[in-house]
Amino acid sequence: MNDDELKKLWQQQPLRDPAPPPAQLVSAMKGKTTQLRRTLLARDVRELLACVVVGVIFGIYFFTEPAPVARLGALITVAGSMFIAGRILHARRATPAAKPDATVVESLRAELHSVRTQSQLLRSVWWWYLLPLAVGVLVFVWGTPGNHLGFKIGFTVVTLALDVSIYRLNQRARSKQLLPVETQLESLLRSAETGEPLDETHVANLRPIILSMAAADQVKPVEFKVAFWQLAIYGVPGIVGIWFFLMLDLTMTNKDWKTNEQPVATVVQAVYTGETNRYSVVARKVVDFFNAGDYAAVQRLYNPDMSKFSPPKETADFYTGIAGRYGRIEKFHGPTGNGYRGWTAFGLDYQHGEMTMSLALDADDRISGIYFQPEPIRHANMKDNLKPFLLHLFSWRHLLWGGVSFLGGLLYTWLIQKTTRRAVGISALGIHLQNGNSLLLWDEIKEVRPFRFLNIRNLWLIAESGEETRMHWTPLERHSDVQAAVEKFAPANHPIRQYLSLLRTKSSRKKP
Amino acid sequence: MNSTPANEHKFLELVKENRNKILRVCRVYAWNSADQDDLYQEILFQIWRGLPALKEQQFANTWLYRVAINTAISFVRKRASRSDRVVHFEHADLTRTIESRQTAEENTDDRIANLYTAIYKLDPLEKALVTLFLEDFTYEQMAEATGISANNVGVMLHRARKKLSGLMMEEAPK
Repeated sequence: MNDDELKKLWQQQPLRDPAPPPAQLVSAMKGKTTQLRRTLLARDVRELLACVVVGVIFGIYFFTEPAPVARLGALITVAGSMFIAGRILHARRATPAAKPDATVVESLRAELHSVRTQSQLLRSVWWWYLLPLAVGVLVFVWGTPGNHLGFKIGFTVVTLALDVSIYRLNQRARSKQLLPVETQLESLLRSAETGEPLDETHVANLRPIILSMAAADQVKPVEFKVAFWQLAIYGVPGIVGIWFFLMLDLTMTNKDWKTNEQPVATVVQAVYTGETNRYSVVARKVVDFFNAGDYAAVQRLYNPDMSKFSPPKETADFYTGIAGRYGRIEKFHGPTGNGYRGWTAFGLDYQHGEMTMSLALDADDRISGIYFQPEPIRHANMKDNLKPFLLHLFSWRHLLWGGVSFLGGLLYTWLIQKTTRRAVGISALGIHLQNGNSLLLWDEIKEVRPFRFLNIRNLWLIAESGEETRMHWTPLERHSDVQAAVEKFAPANHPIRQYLSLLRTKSSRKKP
Repeated sequence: MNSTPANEHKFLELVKENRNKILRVCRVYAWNSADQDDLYQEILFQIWRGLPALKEQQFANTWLYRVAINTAISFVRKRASRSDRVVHFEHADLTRTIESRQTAEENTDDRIANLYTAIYKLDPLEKALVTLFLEDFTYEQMAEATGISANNVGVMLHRARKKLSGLMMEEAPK
C-alpha cells in the first residue's frame, strides 16, 4: 500500500457516533467548566483547611497559655502551618498547566516541571512539612507545666513514629508514582527535542500499564467496598476514645470531686501597723516586682516598721523561697474579701500552687503588713474518692457529649465508606485492586497467604516473583457475593478458594 | 471560556467540521470505546477552553490538532500514572484477546484493523506524527502542531513510518 492509499484508507474509515451528541455539547462544556472550577476550589480548601485549623487552635493557645515555653511552641506551630500553606500554594502557582493550545513540547515541559516540583516536595517533606509542626507541638507539650513526664515522653515517641511513617509513605509514593512519570516525560521530551528514538524501556513500561487499563475496561469486575460495620468497629471507638480522654482530662483537672485537706505549710511575713486603701495598686506592684525577681523593689514598698522587721536580705530570701517553691504568679485576682486579721485579701495563682495574699497598708500606701497563706492542697486520692470521681467523669453532661461523639463516629464511618472507592473487584481476568488501576491476573497469583490483625483477616496475594500484594478479605461487604464471584471467576484449583471459609456467608451462618 | 452565543456558535461549527478528525485522534490514543468517549469529551473541553486564543481562522486546522494531540498524550499519561501497581509482565494471551477484541469489534476492514494495531505499538510522539502524516500535514505544519523542529519531524517521521510498515507486515494476514 502506498502513502496515498494509506491516507485515503485512514481518512475514509467508518467512525461511530461519539457521546455526547452535538445538541448537548455546549451545556456539557459549561457543566464541565463549572465542575473544573469547583474541583480546583475544593482542592485548595482541602489542602489549606488543615493548616487553618492547626493555626487557629495553636493561635488560641498562644494567647491563653501562660507558660512562655508552651507559648513559644504554639507560635512555632502556627508559623509552621502558615509556612506549609504558603509552600503548597507557591508550588501550585509555580507550576501552571500548559495552555490548551500549547504544542506537545510545551505541554511536556510544563508537565515535567510540575512532576519535578511535586517530586521535590515529597523528597523534602521532612523539612517543610513534618519538622516545623513536630518541633512546635513538642515544644508546646514539653513547655506546658501541668504535663507529666510520662505523657511528654509518650507523646514525643508517638509524634516521631507518626512522622517517620508519613515520611516513608511519601517517599514510597514518590518512587512508585512520580519518578517513573518523570523519567517517561524526560524521555519523551528528549526525543522531541533531539529527534532521537524514545528509550525502549520506557515504551515497554507504558505498554503493560495501558494493557491493564484496557483489560480492566473490557471486563467489568464485580465490585466490593469495605463494609460499614467493619469500618465502624475502629472508627467509632476512635472518636469515642477521644471523648473519653477529653472528659478524663477535664475531670482530673476539676477540683470539685477532690477532698480538701489542710495546707501543708503556711508562709507568713507579717507585722501589723495599720490599714489604708488602694490595695489593688500596691498588690499589683508586689506581683510585678515578684515576677521580675526584683525583691528589693518589693522591700522598698514596705513602711519603716515593716522594713525594720524584714530587712532587704531577709525579704529577698523570703521571696526567693516562695518563687523556688511555687514559681511565677500567673494570675492575680482580687480583692477577694477579708483575709488574715481582716486585711484585704488577693488570690495568687502560681505556676505550682495557689496562695492568698493578705495586705495591710499604712496612710502613705506603704505596706504595713503582708501575709501569704497557701490554699489548701487538693489532690486526688483515688482510693477514697473513686465514687465522686466516677460520678463526675460520667456526669450527664459528659455522657451527653459521649452520645454526640458516638453519633459523630458513625457519621465519620459513613463518610469514609461513601467516599472510599471500591476496595476489590473480581472478574474473569483476575483481581482488580486500587479502583481498577491494578490488575492481578488469576494465573499470576501463585500463592495466597492469610494474615490476621485483631478480628480482621486479609490475604497476601503472592506472585511468582515473590512480590506480595495485600487484599481486603473479611472486611469486605457482601461476603456471599464475594464468595459467588470467586467461585464463578477463579480457576478451579486457585489457592484463593481455600480461604472462602473465612467469609461469613449465609450458608456458613446456618452451620452449627 | 466566556460563554457568548458567538463563541458557542464558533465552537459548534469547529466541532462539526472536525468531528471525524478528532475521533481518529481518539482512536489512536484510546483504544476502547469508553476511553475514546472520555478522551473525545476532554479534547472538546480543551477546545472550548482554548477557543478564545484562536484569533485567525485559517490556522484552525493546525490549532485543533495541537489541542487534540496534546490532550490525548496527556490523557494517556495521566491514566497510566494513576496506576500504582500494574500487570508485571507481558501476558501474551491477554494481549491477543484485547487486541483481537479491539480490532474485531470496531473494524470491518482488516487493513484499518492492522493499521490501528500497528499504530498502537508506536510511542506517543510517533503516534502524533503518523496521525498528522495520515491527515496529510506537511512537515512545517507538523512542526507547528507539535513544537518539534521541522528537521526532527523529518527524522522522527521517517523512523516512525519505517517502524509502522514493519509492524503492519507483521499484523497482515499470513
